[in-house]
Amino acid sequence: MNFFKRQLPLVVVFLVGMMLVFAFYIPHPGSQLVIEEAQRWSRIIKNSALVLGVLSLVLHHLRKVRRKEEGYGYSLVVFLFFIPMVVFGLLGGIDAPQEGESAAVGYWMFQNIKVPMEATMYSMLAFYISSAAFRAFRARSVDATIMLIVALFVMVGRVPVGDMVSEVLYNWGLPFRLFSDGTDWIMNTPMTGARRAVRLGIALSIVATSVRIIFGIERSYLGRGD
Amino acid sequence: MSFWEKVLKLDRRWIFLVVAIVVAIPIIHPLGLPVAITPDVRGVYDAIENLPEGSPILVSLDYEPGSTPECDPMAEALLTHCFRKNLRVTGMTVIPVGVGTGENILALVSQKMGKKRGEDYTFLGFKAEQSASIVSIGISLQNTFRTDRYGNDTSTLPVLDGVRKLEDFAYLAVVHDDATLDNWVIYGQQVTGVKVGSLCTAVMAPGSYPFKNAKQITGIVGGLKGGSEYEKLLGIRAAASLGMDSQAVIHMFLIVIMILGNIAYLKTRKV
Repeated sequence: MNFFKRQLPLVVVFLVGMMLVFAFYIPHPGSQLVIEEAQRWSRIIKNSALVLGVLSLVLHHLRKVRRKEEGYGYSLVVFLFFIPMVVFGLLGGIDAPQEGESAAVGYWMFQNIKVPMEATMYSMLAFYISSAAFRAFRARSVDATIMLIVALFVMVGRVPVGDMVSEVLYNWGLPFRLFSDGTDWIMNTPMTGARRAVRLGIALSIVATSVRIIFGIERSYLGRGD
Repeated sequence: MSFWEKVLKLDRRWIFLVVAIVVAIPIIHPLGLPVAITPDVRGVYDAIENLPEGSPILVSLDYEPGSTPECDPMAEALLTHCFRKNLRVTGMTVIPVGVGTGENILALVSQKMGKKRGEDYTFLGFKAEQSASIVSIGISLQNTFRTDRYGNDTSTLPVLDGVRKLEDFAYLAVVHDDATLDNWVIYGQQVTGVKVGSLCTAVMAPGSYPFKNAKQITGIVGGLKGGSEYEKLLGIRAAASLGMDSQAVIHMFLIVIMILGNIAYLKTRKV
């Protein structure tokens, strides 16, 4: 059994990994076919994982309700919304109605329950960010002070008031539009530089991790084998 | 207790109340603040404006319901521009809930502009596994999406006439609230050379700048500010411009309380 749990997955990962690396860099119709087939497999696996995820969610909450575990009321709420959404979605579809058509129940539920609820949750951030900005954004050190000044500058530069002030100062003789051009410079130069560094770091890490997985050095995805 | 100590101990509910008021007032009474056009937004606008009539354009609508207040206005402006130019619009998404948000905005704008599904526009729907789907579209759109969302064969749809893979699209606009642009650039633009534009939430905009400066995307429409600029270029004043007034006022309020909080902190700090 150890062969199926350990050796076989390592062999499969090595063969598939190497095959796809070579196929990606060889511009030949044959290698394109390999990539296309692999992509199809990948999507099928992903969709299967989606079904597994839904099943796992249902079983988890079902167990909580049956055992009346602490907070099982929330699990009931999950089913209260999950079941109608799935039933109406599968029976009536969720497609947007065309002119003159009436909306499907699944579509109506998505647009009138899910969208406003999520938008409300997201919009609530305005209150919490305001409170947090007042309490936490303090000039406690040199680094924090630089960050604070840059944040204030960009906040002014990202709204029409900043454009208006910049225009006035420009007309008074300042050789550049203070907040507009200044914000553009911050976004295009130091911020882009920092983002590039982060991206390069991430990309190199992905390459390193992929190589470790393909060559069987990184094996944590196999689990502990029990 | 001194005045500054009182400021530091200000009940957060007062801040919540003021935020609610300063957000609501510009919505009830729009201020009509002037918006300056940035080169970032012009980069997307000009790329679409310069396309010949009837060109096929792919719009990937990759945003969740929570981001609709920010992404819907810019998507609406973009689609209005495309339909005004009589471009053939193909919508799709690489995130599951993008089906609900993307199809909805495409249906709304197309109906408003009197466009016909299948001829002027279509919506392909969602494909799982972002990178794999994008690579796959780069090889064959018809093999990736055999039918559109309404069951029509993609190999015979008039809106996709002459389009067999990603590079056949004259432009790719990615409306996103997540890092889907990264995959579109890495597996789409870099492989096929298709021109790309980023339309994203303000939070995601910084992530688009390295691509813009490397000329991998033509421009960035970031947040309500970007949306309002796009609306101005189109000569309309819609949701983004209205929301921009509130955003401008709330930014100024935040600046004031941040400065106030820091003065109080410095005044009461024990050395």
